[in-house]
Amino acid sequence: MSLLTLIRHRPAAPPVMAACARCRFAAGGGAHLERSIPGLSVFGSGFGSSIGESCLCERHDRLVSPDDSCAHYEAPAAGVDREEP
Amino acid sequence: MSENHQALGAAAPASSASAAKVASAPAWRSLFAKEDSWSIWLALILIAIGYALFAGGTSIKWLAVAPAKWTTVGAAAQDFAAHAGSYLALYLVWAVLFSVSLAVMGHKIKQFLPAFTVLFIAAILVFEAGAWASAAKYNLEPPLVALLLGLVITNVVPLPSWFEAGLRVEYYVKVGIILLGATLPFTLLVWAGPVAVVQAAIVSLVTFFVIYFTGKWLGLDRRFAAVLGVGGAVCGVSAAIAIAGAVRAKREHASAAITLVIAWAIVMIFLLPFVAQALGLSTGIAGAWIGTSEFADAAGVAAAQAYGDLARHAGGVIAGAPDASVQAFTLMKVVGRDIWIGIWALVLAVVATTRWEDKPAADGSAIKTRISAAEIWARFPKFVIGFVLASAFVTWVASHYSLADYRREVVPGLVGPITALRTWAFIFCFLSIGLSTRIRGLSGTSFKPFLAFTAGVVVNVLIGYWLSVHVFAAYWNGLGS
Repeated sequence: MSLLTLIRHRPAAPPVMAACARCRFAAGGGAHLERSIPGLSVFGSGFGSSIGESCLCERHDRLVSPDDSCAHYEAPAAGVDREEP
Repeated sequence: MSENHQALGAAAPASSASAAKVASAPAWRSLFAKEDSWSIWLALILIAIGYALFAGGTSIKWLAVAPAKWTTVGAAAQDFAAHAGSYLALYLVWAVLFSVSLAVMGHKIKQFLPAFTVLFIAAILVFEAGAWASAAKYNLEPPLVALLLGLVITNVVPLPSWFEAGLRVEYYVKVGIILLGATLPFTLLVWAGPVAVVQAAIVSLVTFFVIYFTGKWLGLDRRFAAVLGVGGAVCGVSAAIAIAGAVRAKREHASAAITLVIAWAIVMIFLLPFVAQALGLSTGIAGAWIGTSEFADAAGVAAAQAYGDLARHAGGVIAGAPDASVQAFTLMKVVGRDIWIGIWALVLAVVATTRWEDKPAADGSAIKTRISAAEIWARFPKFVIGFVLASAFVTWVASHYSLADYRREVVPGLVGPITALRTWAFIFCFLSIGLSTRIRGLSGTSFKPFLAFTAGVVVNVLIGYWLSVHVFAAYWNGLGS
């Protein structure tokens, strides 16, 4: 698959609610990333552009993007809206 | 598409609401959600106020106060007392600008404000130390003093947790770099920018592949090797976290890469200026070398500023204008290296997706990733736009004056005060680097990543030196003329 094809190719999107952006395991926000990744704020920042929209999946312990998805998706508990950042 | 398969057995619920907020935020919100955008607003506000006052026949220099050279503590105290009102006004301006912007970004101002107040007082002391007439004799350059002081304090004395709120290293350095743009002629940017891009491209590619293939040869995970490689090749911690996000790296790999970047960046801050001095490099060439061989903007600015200060106090022993060091560094690092991070992220995301797939997970728990060209813009270091705008604006202002009038009117009335404000922003940054670098707080790393990264450091330093001193020397020396 060529690079251009890959970039243009948008596979069938998962249901919005099943994406990492809305998963209980995905932790977003600059402050959370700074707390979770030692040293991030020394020469970098959780609030800089280069971090993009990456968030931390605490199920896989990996950085993921809001549009990513996996079989372990779990909706957040009702009423849970933790402070950001 | 791509799959990552190492799900952890135990997992904690996370702040998913904030992740959702990030994903669903309207486009305009990004203008006020990131430090990059705010650094542009802050710096351009200061430049606009400076220009408005200058055009009205006054100047912002009453605010952009800086200590006068002193030989006795009494003289320093007298000078400070004479300008106490300006120092207070300067504190209030910085405090308000930073507090408002950080509040919008979601920081707790109740913690930031007292921390920034302490930082500002420490910055005055560091600035005063640098103004001591005998400072150069003991190599007491403000960037090095600030760093060393911060490093010693934070690793010896336990600092209260609220104090961390004031240590916004990257925010301060971005504001400083945009203010630096206002003192860099746009024509110089156009003239030397392409050279910086070519030199930086050579060094970045070679450094990345050395680290990546060394890491792979040592058996490191490919995603980890890529995070290490770009951390060393492009823009340090920012690059490491950007690529960790792009290739969906493990948190521990991002942390280990960041630890290595910090360790080598600190070493280089102290090493490069003195090696450059020992080798008799001009300020422009040294700045270019530091620009290719430092790993983080803040660390590089500290090293380049220190070399400029060494030149300023060396009585002509070091060739070139003192400011050429920071100018060459910024061209090389910001224009030559930083702006490509989005491209690196996209390319490596594609490679990770198509080439680095792990074995499928038995329970189907693989992460399905989505790649978009929008990644390039999303991760673009947008403060660079402010840097270019500031340069273009002040160059436009200067174009209305003859060279003699520019030196007589524009420099003392506009460019000089902006330079002083830039120095303040950089001192906040240097102090913050030292004070936030707690050795015990960094994650550990094993020998193999260290070896891979160090191989890249060695190659990077040698190639950067060769290109700066032998291939593109004429350009970098031209900055000082």
